[in-house]
Amino acid sequence: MHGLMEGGICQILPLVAPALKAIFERLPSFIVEGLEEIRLRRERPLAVRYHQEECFLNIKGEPVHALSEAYLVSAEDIWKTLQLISQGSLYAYEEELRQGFITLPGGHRVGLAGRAVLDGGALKTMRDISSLNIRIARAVPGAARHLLPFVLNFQERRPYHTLLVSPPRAGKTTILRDLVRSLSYGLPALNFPGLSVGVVDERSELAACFQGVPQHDLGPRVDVLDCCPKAVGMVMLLRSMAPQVIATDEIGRSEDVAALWEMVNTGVSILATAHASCWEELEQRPYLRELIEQRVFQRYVFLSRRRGPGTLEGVWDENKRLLRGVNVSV
Amino acid sequence: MSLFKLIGAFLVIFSTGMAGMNIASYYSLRPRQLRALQDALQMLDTEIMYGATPLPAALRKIGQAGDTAVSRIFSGAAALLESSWGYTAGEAWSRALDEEIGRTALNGDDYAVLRAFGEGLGASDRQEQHKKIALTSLNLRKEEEKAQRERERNERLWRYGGFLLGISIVLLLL
Repeated sequence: MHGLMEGGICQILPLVAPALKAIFERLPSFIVEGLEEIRLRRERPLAVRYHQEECFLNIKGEPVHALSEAYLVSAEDIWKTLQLISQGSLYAYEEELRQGFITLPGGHRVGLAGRAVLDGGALKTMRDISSLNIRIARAVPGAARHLLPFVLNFQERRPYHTLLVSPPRAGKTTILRDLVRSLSYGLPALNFPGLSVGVVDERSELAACFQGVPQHDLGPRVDVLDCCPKAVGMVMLLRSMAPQVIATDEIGRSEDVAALWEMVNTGVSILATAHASCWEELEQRPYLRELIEQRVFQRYVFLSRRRGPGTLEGVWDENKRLLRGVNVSV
Repeated sequence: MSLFKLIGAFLVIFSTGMAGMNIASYYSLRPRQLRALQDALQMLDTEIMYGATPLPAALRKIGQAGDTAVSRIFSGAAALLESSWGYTAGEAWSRALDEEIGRTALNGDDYAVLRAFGEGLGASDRQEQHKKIALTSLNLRKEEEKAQRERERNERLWRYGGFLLGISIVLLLL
């Protein structure tokens, strides 16, 4: 774990402006170890998040809490960082700018905010980028291990249609990624064969492809459709790659749900995620409610950050019957 | 004695003649290099507009396409961009330009055009990059036309002028 995170900051150092690089090189090791997020905002203090805590940094890389002592990120810092991240080729990242984030080698992601340029009502690109949020990616092999007995259908040798539900930053994507990896490798211990998994990665988050190569290990039987809209991508993958499982992140729009309807009766298993913190919130999402009422998903896995990211709150089946709750030790 | 004179005369004519040829070749080299630059920019435009190729790869490709002094600017900039020294595209370009310009036949005006090209290189969307390349190409073409006119005026003059100068010196000394 330690080595992994140090790898994270090492991969990011060459991509930040020299002034910032000098600061990060002097970061104390307890921050480096738990580093989750680096926030650069123009003319605002340099902030990092580590071990779920947030603090500002001064010019010596020391954590400070007073605004006045913090290092102010200059416009040039942001500009240079953006140049380095894009290899001096911002034009090659037009689609990423439209989506609002860039994926880096190592699977780290940079979120962007600035002035939007519209073209006929649609977002054309972003200019005058004023905020960058660098999120350090970490693979957590085994994150989904305790879920596997609940989401695998051992008789039919396939996973159930599963929806992972949690508020943002509670580890949905990490767990889905580990589920995909486990299915793709197969589970000899559970006598479960490896399956072909198609991943529709609209936001380049699940596989975190950098120039077409997944930056996370997803095992030997994975086909990734990168940056493709989910609805189109799922149908496309089904026809082109004949997967046994299709995994996708953050469903919720009407076209996603329509595509899911096409998927459920084709023999392919669906793994998906959705934003919500409880059943009530989930059922208030108009298109998702329809799926729940029609019992499309056979397993609902709720996660939270209560005891750190990826805390399992419970697993329910299609009849909303609790299979495993929080009172059962994980 | 007359043999020495003959050899001396030959040497004088040969060296002034060669010097003249050299200057003449500068006049013919400059328009050719300006032409090569425009071709290179045309390639860069294609890479950016149709391939959305990142600059390091695009510049390297162009650098490998020709082996004139001009293409070394492109490969130099690619190498700097790929280094981990934290150069922006503009900085990499102007450093490579400063390093290589002395080995080309390009003059101060050409340098100014190329220097301006580096500002904001790669730092905007494709349309903007396209405009920038088009503008630079236009300026280079103007310089090329100027260079061409200079060449017409001066190339032949220097090619033969060197020898004529040598001959006149010999005649004076004889």
